[in-house]
Amino acid sequence: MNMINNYLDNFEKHLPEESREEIREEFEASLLGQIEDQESQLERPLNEQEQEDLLLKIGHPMKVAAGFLSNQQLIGADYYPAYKKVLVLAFWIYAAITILKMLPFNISLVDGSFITTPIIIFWALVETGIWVFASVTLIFYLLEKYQTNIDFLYAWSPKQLSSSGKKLSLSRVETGFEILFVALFLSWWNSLFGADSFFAGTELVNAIKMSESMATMQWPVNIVGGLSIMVSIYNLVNAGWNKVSLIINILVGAADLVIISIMMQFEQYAIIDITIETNRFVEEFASYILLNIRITLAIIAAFVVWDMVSSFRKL
Amino acid sequence: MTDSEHYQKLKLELRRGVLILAVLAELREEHYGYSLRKNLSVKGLEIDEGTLYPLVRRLEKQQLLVSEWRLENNRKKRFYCLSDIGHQVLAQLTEEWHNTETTLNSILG
Repeated sequence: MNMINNYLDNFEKHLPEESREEIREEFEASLLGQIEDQESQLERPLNEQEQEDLLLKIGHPMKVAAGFLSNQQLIGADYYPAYKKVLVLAFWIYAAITILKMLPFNISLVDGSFITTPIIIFWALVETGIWVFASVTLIFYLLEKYQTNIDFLYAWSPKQLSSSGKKLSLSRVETGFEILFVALFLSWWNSLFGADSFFAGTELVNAIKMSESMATMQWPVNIVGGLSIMVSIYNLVNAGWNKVSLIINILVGAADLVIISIMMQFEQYAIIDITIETNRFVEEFASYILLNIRITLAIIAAFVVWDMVSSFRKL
Repeated sequence: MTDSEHYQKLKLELRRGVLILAVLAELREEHYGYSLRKNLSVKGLEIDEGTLYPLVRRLEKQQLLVSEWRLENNRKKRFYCLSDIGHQVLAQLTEEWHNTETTLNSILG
């Protein structure tokens, strides 16, 4: 009977504290009743192998005890749809905040962080995701445990249901990448004006600067980029496009094209101070600015036009 | 998942709903845990301990059953039987079962 007692002790250990003794006693009576029944059929006590077979058939003590616990799941079926929606919304909102918080111009051509910044952002998003998942799950677990009414989360009216036809549908992954892309672009853009962060601690600190005409574009680009991110977040929260977001997106696109066309006409993008002794890197950087900026602008313009046409067709 | 695993899973789902009806019906007579399980098993309904005993406690909590601790063969056992509410609910569920059976038979052909 040692094996049976061990089983019962283990079973008891996993029971809810308030009714532990009572359930054990009841379960023990049933188990021993079953053993006595088998013994009377065999007309002898059960041997060790037979006891083991019986216990194996009943199942792991923890699993059997789990049946007596009131709540067997973290989030039940009634709460799950609301939980999933809140989880997705919270993730995208916190992901956007995380990216925007990291914008403080941390890209530097000197230390090669064009490569490291996306990796840093990726891990920051993973960390944000874990925190959001843990927090939202805990909140909903507690809401369910205390049977808090969440009907307000399911409040709806057939008239207010937004159209979710294919025409206005939204790819969350695509929109997420769009936010990431614009945020990275703004980070890079602002770093162009942060000479200190480019060449801090080197003799090149004053060797390269953006031209005055470029400097006038710094905040317009930031504003348009910020608006673009806000439209994407608004679409994510609404799980699709609507007329307002489409019109704003077209207007933002138009503003993008105006800025790009102005910048295309600049004669000079960067000023190199030739009185300061320069090295190979400065020459390479200047060539990078002069040769590639118009190509980059043309590519962005093409993307903006495509985005505007796509939005216009959805209207 | 194999066909057999699908079948076993669906069979469990199908049985889950009728377990309560079977347990309530069997507890028109007084039983303790093992004798209830044994009686159901003799009649062809096998239920494992981990499912039956918590179910009986839940039904008691819902006031469909009443229980009493008694000494039998020098061992304390908890005996369950239907409460007044339990009798009423059993009658309603039985009627519902017959309706469902008729409907399903006409669907299954």
